[in-house]
Amino acid sequence: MKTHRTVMIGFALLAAAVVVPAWRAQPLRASQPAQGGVRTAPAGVRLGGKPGQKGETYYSFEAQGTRHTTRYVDAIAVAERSVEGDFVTRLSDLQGNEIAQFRVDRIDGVNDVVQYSPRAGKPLRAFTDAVVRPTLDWSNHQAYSLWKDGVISDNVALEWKNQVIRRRGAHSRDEGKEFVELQTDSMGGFSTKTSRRAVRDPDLQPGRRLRGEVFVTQLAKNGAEVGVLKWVPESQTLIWSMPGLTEGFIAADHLKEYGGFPFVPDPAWLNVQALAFHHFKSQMQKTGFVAQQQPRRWSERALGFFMPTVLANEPGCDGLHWLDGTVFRFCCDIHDRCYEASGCNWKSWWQFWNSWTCDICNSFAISCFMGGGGGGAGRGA
Amino acid sequence: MLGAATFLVAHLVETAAWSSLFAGNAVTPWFMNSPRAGAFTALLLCIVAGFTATRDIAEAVVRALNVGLGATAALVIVLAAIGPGTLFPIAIAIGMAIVATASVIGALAGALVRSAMHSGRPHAPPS
Repeated sequence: MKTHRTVMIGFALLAAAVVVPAWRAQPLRASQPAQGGVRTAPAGVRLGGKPGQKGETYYSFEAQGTRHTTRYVDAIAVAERSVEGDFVTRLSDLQGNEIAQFRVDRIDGVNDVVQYSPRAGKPLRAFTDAVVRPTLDWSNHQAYSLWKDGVISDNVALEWKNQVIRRRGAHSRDEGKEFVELQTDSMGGFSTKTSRRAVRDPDLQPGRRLRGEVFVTQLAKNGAEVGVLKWVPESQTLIWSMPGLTEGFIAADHLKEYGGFPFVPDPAWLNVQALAFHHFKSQMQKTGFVAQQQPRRWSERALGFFMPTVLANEPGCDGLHWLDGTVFRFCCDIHDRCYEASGCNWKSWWQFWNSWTCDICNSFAISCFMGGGGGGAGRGA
Repeated sequence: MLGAATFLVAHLVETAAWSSLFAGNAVTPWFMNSPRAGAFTALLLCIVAGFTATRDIAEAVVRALNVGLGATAALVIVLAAIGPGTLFPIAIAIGMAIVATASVIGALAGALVRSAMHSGRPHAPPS
C-alpha cells in the first residue's frame, strides 16, 4: 500500500514525542562493573525505553509550559512553574474561591516532595513515587484528586493508585466526565487549549465514520490561531491541520504493526503534541533538516515517468478520491481487499493472463461502478 | 494541443495550491482526488472550449471534442506520472467523460454567445 507521507510524518512525530527511549541513568549506573569503569553499549543492543511511557522529547516540550489551567466541572486548577522547576497549583471553585494549594518541590527526581494545603484543614506532605515524573498537568490532577477524596490532613490513610495519591479505598472516578478544558501557556507566546465536545461532522475524514466525542486542541501564537488537532477516542483517530505547515490524520489502523497507539492520548498530550507539530514542521521548513530525495539522473526520471515507482494501493478510490465519501467507496474497498487477497497490482489490468482472480476483482469494480455503487457480480460472494 | 495545455495548466495550479485550496495533504494532487479540483479543471476546459467555438454548432462540438481529446491525452500522461493506482482504467474513463462533457458544454455556450453577438450586430447596407 502506498503509505501517505503525512501519515509517516505523523507517526514519526508521535514516536518522537512519546516513545523515544529515555536514557535512564539509573539502570546503567546500577550495573556498572567497577568503580570508574566504563560499561560500553554494543551496537544493535536495545538499551532501554519503556513502550507506553512518555520519553524525553515529551518532557522537553512539557517543560516549556509555564502555566497550565485545567477546568473541571466543579473546580479550576492553575499550575505554574517557578524558575527552579518547582510547581504550585492553586485549586479554586468556579467562583474563584481558593480551595487548596499543592506544591511540588523538585529535589532530585526521586525524592521530590509534595505538599497539599487545603484551605480548611492541615497540610499534608509526602514523597513522590519513584515512577511518577511530576508535570504541571500531574500537579493539577493530583491537587484536584486529593480535594475530591476529601483529604484534609495527614491523618488520612493514603495510597498510590495509577500514579496519583488517593485516599485509601477511594472509589474510582470517571475522570473523563470531570474534565472540561485544559489550557497550557508556553514559552514563545504559544498557547494550547483542549476542550471536549460531541463530533459535529462524522464524515470529516473521507472513508472514516467518526463517532462519540472529540477533543479539540487549538494552538495559538501570540493570540492568533495557528493550528488545530482533533482526537476522536472512539474512532482512535487523530486529525491535524496547521495551514502552511502540515495537515493529515493518523488512526490506530495505521499503527497496527505497532499494536495501535502505544499510549492513551489525553488532553495534556494533545497540547504538547500540537506544540511539537508546530516546532518540528517549522524547523523542517526553515532548515530542511529532513532527508531530501537525492536528485535523479534524467534517464531515471524518464524511466520513472513511464514506470512510476509508486505503484501500490491507497485506501479508498485510487485516482478518484473525490468518491471516497460516496456510495462508490464500497466498490473501491471491495476492490482493494480483493487485490490484497489475490496479490494483484495495477498491472493486473492489462496482464489479464497472469491471474484470473485479479480479473474477477477488476470485473467486479467495473460492474460495481456501472451499477452506481450498488455492487457487482461478486457482491454476494 | 490546446486541451492538453489547459489540462496541464490546471494540474500545475492544483499541485501548487493543493494543500491550501483543494484537498490538503491527505491525497495526491490530482483533479479527481478532490471535488474542487475537478470543478476547477472542468471550468477551465469549459472556458477554453468556449473560446474555440464558432457559430456553427456542429463545428463547435468538433472543436470541443478535439480539446477534450487533447485533455484526455494529458490526463493519461499525468496519471501515469503520479502513479496510476489500482483503478486507473476506471479513473481514465471517468476523467475522459468529465473533460469531454466540460469541453462540449463550454463550446455550446460559446457558440450560443457568438450567435447572439452576431445577430445583435447591424447588417452592412447593400452597395
